[in-house]
This record gives sequence, structure tokens and C-alpha cells, in this order.
Amino acid sequence: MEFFLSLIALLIAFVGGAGTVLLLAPSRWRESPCGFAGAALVLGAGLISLLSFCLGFMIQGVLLRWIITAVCMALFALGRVRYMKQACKAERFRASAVQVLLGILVFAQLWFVTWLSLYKSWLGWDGLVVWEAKATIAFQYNGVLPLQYFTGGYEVAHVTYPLFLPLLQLWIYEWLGHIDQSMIKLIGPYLYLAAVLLLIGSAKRIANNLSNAIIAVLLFGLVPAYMLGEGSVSSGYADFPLAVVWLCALAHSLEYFKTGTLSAARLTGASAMLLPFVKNDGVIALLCITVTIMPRVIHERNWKAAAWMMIPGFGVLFGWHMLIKFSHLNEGDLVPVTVANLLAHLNRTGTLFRFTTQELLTWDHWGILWPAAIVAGALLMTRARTVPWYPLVVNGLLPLLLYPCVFFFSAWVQFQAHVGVTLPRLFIHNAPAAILLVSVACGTLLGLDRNEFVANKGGGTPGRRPRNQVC
Amino acid sequence: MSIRKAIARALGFSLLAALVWVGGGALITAVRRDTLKLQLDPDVSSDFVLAAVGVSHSTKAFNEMLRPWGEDKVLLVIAPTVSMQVKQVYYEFLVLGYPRRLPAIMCDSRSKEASTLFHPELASSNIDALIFFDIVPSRSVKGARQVAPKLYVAPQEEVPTWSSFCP
Repeated sequence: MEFFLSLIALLIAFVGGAGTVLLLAPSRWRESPCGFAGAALVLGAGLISLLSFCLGFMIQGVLLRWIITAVCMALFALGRVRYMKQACKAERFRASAVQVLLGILVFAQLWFVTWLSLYKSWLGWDGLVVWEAKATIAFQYNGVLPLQYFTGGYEVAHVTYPLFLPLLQLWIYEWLGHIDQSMIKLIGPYLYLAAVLLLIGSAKRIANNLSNAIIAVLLFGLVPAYMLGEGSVSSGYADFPLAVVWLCALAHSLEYFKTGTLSAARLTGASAMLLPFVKNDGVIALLCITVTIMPRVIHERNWKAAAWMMIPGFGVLFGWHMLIKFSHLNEGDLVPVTVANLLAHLNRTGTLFRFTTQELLTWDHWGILWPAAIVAGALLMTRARTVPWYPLVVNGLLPLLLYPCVFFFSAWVQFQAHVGVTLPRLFIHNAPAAILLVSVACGTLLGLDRNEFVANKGGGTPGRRPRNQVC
Repeated sequence: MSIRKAIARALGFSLLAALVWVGGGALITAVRRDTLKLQLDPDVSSDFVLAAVGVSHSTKAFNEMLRPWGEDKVLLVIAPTVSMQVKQVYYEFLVLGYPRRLPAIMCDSRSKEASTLFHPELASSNIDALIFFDIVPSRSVKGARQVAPKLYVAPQEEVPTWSSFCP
């Protein structure tokens, strides 16, 4: 019964997400059903969390749960109406051997991940006392985190950490009617499915060939850091959710990079909005997405699209930090980001370089993903005319430089301990982009890509939006 | 097929094979190394951390122990030493006990003054109960009750000097 109720809770999230995607980009379902479903899973989870947080200031308990459910259903109904208005004759679906193989691969990975999550891994230390703790406290307070939790001056479970994951866990608790630390582990497989579908959608869109998607899905399932240990899908940490939300934002920014459509911009913005609400590190992801879309935005001077993509993410970031500031909470692990602090800690460079290279070459965490990603990035740059290297390199490889730089501002007395504990988990966030990069490079070498991604003049660089583009 | 294409394909296959081989090997090793066999249980992770108190359903035992004390009460946790395991148990106590205030003193065997305090801002507050983890309360503590092999609770009605509870 618990399993069934948890699935209902997650299904409602998916329905709400599907409605959101249909409203923001009605043509998405036709263009890429896998990408559509992946985005719906991610945005649905975000929708539940954001609604719980915002509505929680006014209502609580059973009423809050039913209102959120009603909003999800209403969004789906509205989205479906909008979709029907734009629907054109659908192609008849015929399953090919590649599709069947891909289906088997996805199903097998999902089963494996669910088994690992439920029976082989507990929530983990941070998963329990940083993330799930907030869900437990909110459940005791009738489904909302009380304001005194932020303002009471008695800090439990890192008050300043954002609430995407705890509020999604709370959503399951509310449907179950009790706390259940086993059932919230289903969030991992839920998001894993989203990641795999987004990878399939993006890989297919880039190379115009489903075989490329098989490589992406295969590689995604063979990164040990994703399967077991701190920050993995089977743990209760927020690192894997952040990785999936980032992948969702990347998938849509890739679409924007390709088409320049407003619908892609809207979906990029909706995904990026969740980044700072999953984890404070989401600000790096937000930065990378900004760097990704800026060349095209500036080239086309499409400020409307820029507003769609940037305002939601930076709005949530600003709002969250205002709440923290007005609650007089100390953000703890980092000193203020100033030039003076950077210069004072420049002597950490050597240590950070050593830690970073050591982590990237730790084969029992990553296999040979990172060396392969660097080679793949270099390879794709040489094929700039046919492959979209820029978004993949920015999101897959740039964080390898940015994340270690965060520790120039570490407030820990023993900053090495901070790096050692945190850095391995940080690379989980951008690894999906690196996997996509490697799979595209492999596909290019194997001759699997049909080179239709970059329709614009100038190959990998952004070009003008086609005149007949209306969505 | 041109030689250039053939070389590219060979490189592509090699790269893919290496990724699958190393990643798959590492994954199999990681799964084999993981000896955990968990049951589906509502308190599975809390029990995992609180197993140190010495009972199987430790979360339930702790929650029942706290029930007599209302939300505005302050309960002092006393532990014999500062260690990662003791800290983990204490942080879980904090979460389960919320919104009750649970300050703590983790004693130092060298001197009482060197003990580590958590939430020292509550040092002047009235303490409603004492929770002893991994330490047996001294005879001077009245009404102490054993909840689990390594967990005791005792009612209190004053502003004590925290370090007086250290051995």
C-alpha cells in the first residue's frame, strides 16, 4: 500500500509537470516524446516543491495537499487544451529494433537503481540530517516548515539549504500519512528515469539518430558515482537531483541553441528556476546555463527569450537569499565572495589542483569518464560545423574549473577537509553533460550522427532564428 | 569506406569499449563491496544511525522516551566523548526532538572544562530533562531511567552546570 501511495504522489507530480510542459511548449510532445516525459518528471517535482513552499505560508495540512493536486490536474487539463489547438497529424508509431533495445536498457537500469535505493543504501548522513530532517520537521507541523524554523535562532539541519528535495519527500509523507524513509528513496529512481529520458531526447536531437541515445544511456548506467555512495541516485542527497535538473535545463538550452524558439526558452527558464531551489551549488549551474544561452541571445538581441530564461532562476535565487537574510541566518561554510578573500586564499591553488585531478582520475568513482570527456570536448571542437560543442563543453567541462574555485572561499579552518568531503559530490552535478558530450563524440567517430543538429550558418555557433518559426 | 573513416570508427569503438569496461568493472566492484541488506521500514535510516543506543527500533524508543516532554522543553544531552559516531547520534536526536531544544555536552576525559558544548546559548536555560548517551548517570542524578542499553533519561528542574554531569 505504501508503495502504491508513493507512486500516486509521484504520478501527480508527473501530471503537473506534463501540464506545465504542454503549456510552455505545446509542440514538445511531437518533437521529442522522451524529452517531453523527462522534462515533465523534473518540472513536476519542482512544481510540487515550489507550490508546497509558497502556498505553505497560507494553508497547510490536507487542504494544502488537495490544492496542490488540483493545481497539477488543472495544469494538465489546460496544457492538453493548448496542445490540441496546435496538434497536427501524428505519425504512426512503429517500434524499431533500436527502440526495443533502448526500452530494455532503460527498464533494466531502472530496476537496478530501484533495488539499490530500497535495499542497498540508506539515506546517507547528509541525506538524513540535512535533507530528510526538514521533511520530518515539516510533517510534524502539518505539512509546512514553520516560520520559526527559519527565525527561531535554534539551527537544526542546515536551515539555509534550499527545499526542493525535502518538500518532495514531504509530498510523499503527506500521501502516506506517516514518515517513511524507505518510500522516499523512490525519488531517486523517479529522477533517474527523468535523466535517462532527457538523455535519450537530447542525444537523439543532437545526432538525429537513436543509436546515439543507446550510448548515452549505457554510459550513464556505468558511472559508479551515480549508483552508490554519497550523492548518488541511491542516497538521499540533493546532488543527484541537482544533476538531473541541470540536465533538464541543458536539454532545453540545447534546443534553444538549435532553434532559438521561445518555447525552448520558456522550458529552459522553468528548469533553471529550480536550480537554486535544489542546492546552493545550483548557482554554478545557473551561471553555466547563462553562459550557454548568452551568445545566441546577444547575437539575435532576443531579450524576450533572455528574460524567459534568466528571470525565473535568478528570481528564485534572489528570493531565497532574501529569506535567509531577513531570518538573520549565517550561511556557514563560505566566507563572502570578495576579491580580498580570493587573494587571501590564492595559496590554496596547488592543493585544489591536486584534489581535483585526483578525483577526476579516481576510476572507482568515475571510470574513465572525465579523461574521455576532455578528449571528446577537444574532438567536437574540431567538428564545430556539425556538432553543438559549445553548450556541452560549457556545462560538462567548465564546472571542472568553477567548482574547485569555490573552495577559495571555504570558511573551514581545515579547508582540505572541506574539499575532501565535498568536491567528489560536486562533479556529480555536471557529469550528465559530460556523458552527453562523450556519447556525441563516440557517435560522431562511429558515424552514427546524421549531422542535422546545427541548421544555422556558422556550424556550432549560434545563428538567426528561421523566419517561419512560430512556437 | 575511406581509411580516415575506418580509423575514426576504430577509435570510437575503442573509446566506447574502454568506457564500458572500466565503468562496468568499477560498478560491479562497488556493488559487491556494499554488504548492506536493508529492509523496507519507515525508520530505516534513523535506526541505522541510532543503532548505537543498543536496541533494534531505536527511533521508536527515542520518540517514546521524549513524549512526556512538551514542545517548549529543554533537554540536555550528555555524552562521554566527542567522536564522529557520537555527533551523528546527537544530530539525529536534535532532528527527532525538534522543536524541543536539545543542547549537549560531550565530555573530555582530560578535564571537564575542555568538554565540547553544543548550543551553549542555552547554558542559562532551565533544563527539563537529562539524556545520557553511552554514559551511566551518577548516583546524584535522581529518577534516571534506562530506555536502551546505552540511553538513559532523567527528569530535571533547575539550571545546572552542564559539566557537573561529566564523569
